[in-house]
Amino acid sequence: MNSTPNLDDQSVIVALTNGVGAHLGKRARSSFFELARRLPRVRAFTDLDMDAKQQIVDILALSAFYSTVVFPLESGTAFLAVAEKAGASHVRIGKDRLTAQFGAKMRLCISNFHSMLQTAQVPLALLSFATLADFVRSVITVAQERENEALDRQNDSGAPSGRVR
Amino acid sequence: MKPWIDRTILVRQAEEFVKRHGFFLRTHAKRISGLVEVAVYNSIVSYYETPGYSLNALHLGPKKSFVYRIKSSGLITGFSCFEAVEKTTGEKVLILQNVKVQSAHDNHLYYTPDVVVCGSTGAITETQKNGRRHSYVSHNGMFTFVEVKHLIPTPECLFSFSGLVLEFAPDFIAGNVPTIQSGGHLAPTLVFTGVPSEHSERIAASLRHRYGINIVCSTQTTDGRIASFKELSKYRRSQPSAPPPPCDPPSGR
Repeated sequence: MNSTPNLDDQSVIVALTNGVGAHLGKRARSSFFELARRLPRVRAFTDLDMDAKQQIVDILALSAFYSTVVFPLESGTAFLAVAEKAGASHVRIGKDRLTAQFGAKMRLCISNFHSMLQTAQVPLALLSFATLADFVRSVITVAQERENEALDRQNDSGAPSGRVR
Repeated sequence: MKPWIDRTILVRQAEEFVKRHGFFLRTHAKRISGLVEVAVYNSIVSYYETPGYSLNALHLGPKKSFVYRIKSSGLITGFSCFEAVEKTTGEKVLILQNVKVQSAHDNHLYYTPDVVVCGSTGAITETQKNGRRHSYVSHNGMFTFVEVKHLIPTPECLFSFSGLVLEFAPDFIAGNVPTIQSGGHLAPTLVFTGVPSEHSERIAASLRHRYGINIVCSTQTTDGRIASFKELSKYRRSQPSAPPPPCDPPSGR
C-alpha cells in the first residue's frame, strides 16, 4: 500500500493506531492513506529530497490521527467546560452522558498527545490545513525557520564579543 | 528543507501514547467518534464565547443536565441550547441543534440543519391546524445554519449545498451579503468529516469565493473547533428583509 515509493508510510500511522481499536484506527488510517496517495501530486513535495519527504509523510500521519481521534476529545472537553460554566452539571447526548469524570479522562489523553508532539518537536499548528499544498508549504516554512534560527545561534556563538580589551 | 524530527523518537512516543491510552480509546471509540456532532455545535458556541458576549444555557434538563438535541422532533423548549447576549446592545442570539428552518421562498417549507443560529424572536413554536405544536426558526430570524456531512466531500454534496443556501439564505447566492474578516455572524457553513480530493478542494474554493459561504473539511480541525475562526467567512446582519410573496401551491393538473 506504499503510495509514495521508497518512503515508509507505515511506521508512524501503525504505531499510532495499533491498539486504539478498529473503529478509530480504521478511520485514521484511511484518512492518512487517502492524503498520502495524493502527496506526490503536490509540486512542492516532489521537489524535496527523500528525508524531507519522509518527514512530511510522518507529520501527515500525526495530522490524520489528530483530526480523527484527538479532535473529538478536544471538542468534547471544550463543550463540557462551556456547559459547566453555564451552570450544567453534565451533558446528555441521547442515552450517552458526558460527565466531569469522562472529561478528566479525555483531558489526560489530549495532554499526553500534546506532550508527545512536544517531545517529537512537531508544532500543533502543522496538523491543521485547508489543502495538501498548504500543508506541504507550512512544513517547509517551519523547517526553514528552524534552519535560520540554528544559523543565527551559530553566528551569535561564533561572533566576537563586544568587549574592548 | 532539512528534516528536524527524529523518527525513532516519534515512533517510540506514539507507541507509548497508545500503550497508555489505547484501552480508553478502544472502549469509548463509538462515543468518541460521536463527539464530532458536538464539535460542530461547540465551534459555533465558542465563536460567541468572546468578551463581547455572555453565554447562558437555556432549558436545562433534570439534575441540571444539558440535553443535547439529536433528533428533529420535539419542541425547542424540550432541549437545552445556548443563548449568547451581546453585552453592549443586549442583542440575543440562540444557538440551536436540529431545529427546522423555514424556507425563504415558501413559508410552508422546512429543512432541519444540524445547527441553526437565530435571534431571540426567530425561534417560534406554533400550533398547527391538526392541533399539534411544532417549533421552527423563521426565515427572517435566522442568522446562519451549519450542515454536517459524515462523508468525503464529493462534488455532488458540495454543489447541492449551494441549493440549500439558495432556499434558506438566498441573499448569499444573489451576492447581496458582503463578507467581513472579523465580527458579525458566521456565513452558512458546510462541514465534512472526510478528506477532500484535489477536485473537491477546487470546487470548495470556488464556491467559497463566489458565495461567501464556508466549506470546512476534517483536516482543518484545530483546538476542538472545526476550523480557525480567522479562516471562516462572516457577515454583518442588516435589517431583515420583507418576507417573500407567498407561493401558489402547484396546481393539481
